[in-house]
Amino acid sequence: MTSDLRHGLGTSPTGRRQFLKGAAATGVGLALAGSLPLKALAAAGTTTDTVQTIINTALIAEQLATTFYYTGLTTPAIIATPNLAGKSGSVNSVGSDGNAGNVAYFQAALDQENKHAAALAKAGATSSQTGFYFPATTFQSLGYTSQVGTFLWVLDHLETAFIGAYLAAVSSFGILGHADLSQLAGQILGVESEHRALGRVVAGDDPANNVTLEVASFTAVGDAGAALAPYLTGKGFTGGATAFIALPTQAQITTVVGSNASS
Amino acid sequence: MDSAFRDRASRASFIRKIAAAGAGLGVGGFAVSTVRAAGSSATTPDTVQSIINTALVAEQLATTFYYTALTTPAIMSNSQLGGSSTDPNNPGQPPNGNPGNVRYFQAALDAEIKHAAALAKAGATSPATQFFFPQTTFTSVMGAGGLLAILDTLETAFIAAYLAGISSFVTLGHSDLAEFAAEIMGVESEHRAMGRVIGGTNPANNLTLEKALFTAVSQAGTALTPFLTGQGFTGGATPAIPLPTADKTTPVIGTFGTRLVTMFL
Repeated sequence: MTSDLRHGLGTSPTGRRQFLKGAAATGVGLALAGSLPLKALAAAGTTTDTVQTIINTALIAEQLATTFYYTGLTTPAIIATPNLAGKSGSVNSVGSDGNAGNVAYFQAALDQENKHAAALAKAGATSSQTGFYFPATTFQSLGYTSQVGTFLWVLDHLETAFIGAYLAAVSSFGILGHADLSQLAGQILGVESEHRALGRVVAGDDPANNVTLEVASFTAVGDAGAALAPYLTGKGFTGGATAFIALPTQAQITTVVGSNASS
Repeated sequence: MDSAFRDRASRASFIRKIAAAGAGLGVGGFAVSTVRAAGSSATTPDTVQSIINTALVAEQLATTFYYTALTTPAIMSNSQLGGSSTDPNNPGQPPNGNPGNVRYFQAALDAEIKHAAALAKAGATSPATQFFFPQTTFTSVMGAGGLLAILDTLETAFIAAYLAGISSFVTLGHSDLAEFAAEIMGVESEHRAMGRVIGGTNPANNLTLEKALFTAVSQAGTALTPFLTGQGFTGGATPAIPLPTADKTTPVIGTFGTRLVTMFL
């Protein structure tokens, strides 16, 4: 029935070709090049994932996202722009030349990613990551979702990857017999979907909510882990990577989130 | 219905849930094998047919909601939407209109229509040809009974319905359908956030987890009953509003529809 449902939506030109152009420029996503189309390779009712590998990958993804938003919110080239905090560059004292609403989206996103990571860790997920790498130009300018290598471009691609990872988790948890965990993955996925759309709001993309369905990029969560590998190693980004950026501490995060924590 | 929508999601419940479900290897002390056995014994009152039928009704309801908003002058004349032109395809510029906000609604309308079409094509059926809304829904954008408040209530219900759908589909042995429900649910989550953007409610993304309000999709169907009957709204209901046809919705959406992106990464 899934194929019937998808068929009912028809097809339209996808963003894959456009993405691959960007990927060629930055190296992002090269780890996927040999594994597509992932959907076609899926065997019905089986998965290469286990509960432990899923939550481990999810924890790494949440730590990566935490590092991404924190660094964006504390890097003057990003935050001291009119679409964010303005000249003050202060997340908790946005000037009249800034946009407090946009800053609040990112503060809340940082808070949410951090809480997702904490919950996963408390539930037994493990990660050896102490920091991450990003495409070299990520924190040099806010940019646009269509401007390769800029902060908002990376945001769009990271959040799409996270959404894809949690969609795969919904399926894999289901195959493994965990309806409750499938639903929980869905609850996180919805929040990541909000992040993607709000990144597009900051970018001024019309419409911000531009997809009919969230994009199912992966058949298994393990494939998402492979796609994120450049962020863990700093290897594979055409144009190079940033220096190693440490995962922020809880005290650092709390200060930056300010009063825009989520419930 | 409002009482059913109280905030029951919290980080504490999140942790309890994941621990109880058995991912909590280090929390609850459950062995994975034990949890698998527990998971496999889950039951649901839903069936595949009842789930997609309820989803179709919800998508038709959402379609009617967004179409009516985009074509009601009392709504569209708000400076956060069309402004004095009230035309979704020619909204005023700030401060007399906000084109970006109008496009959120145009894209949402398009997405809901496409969701409904896909469900119908897959065999879902719906008896609904019209819907009712709380009486003040289309009289103002802001306020307790205004458009954005109803949007938040409806989208929260749709998200919760699809979350229940995920669980029920898995219990019924359809992990593929669970993933499909999640793909729609994410889009409904975007709609909820866009409504908060229009309302200037910061942060728009205010939840750590989307709210799981229902244990079965059938509960969502019950919660949405007032929108089908017009009975049960405190303060009364609007007159019946017909489900718009494609020849009506297409020009309203204009060039700001959504795309089915099958691969991006």
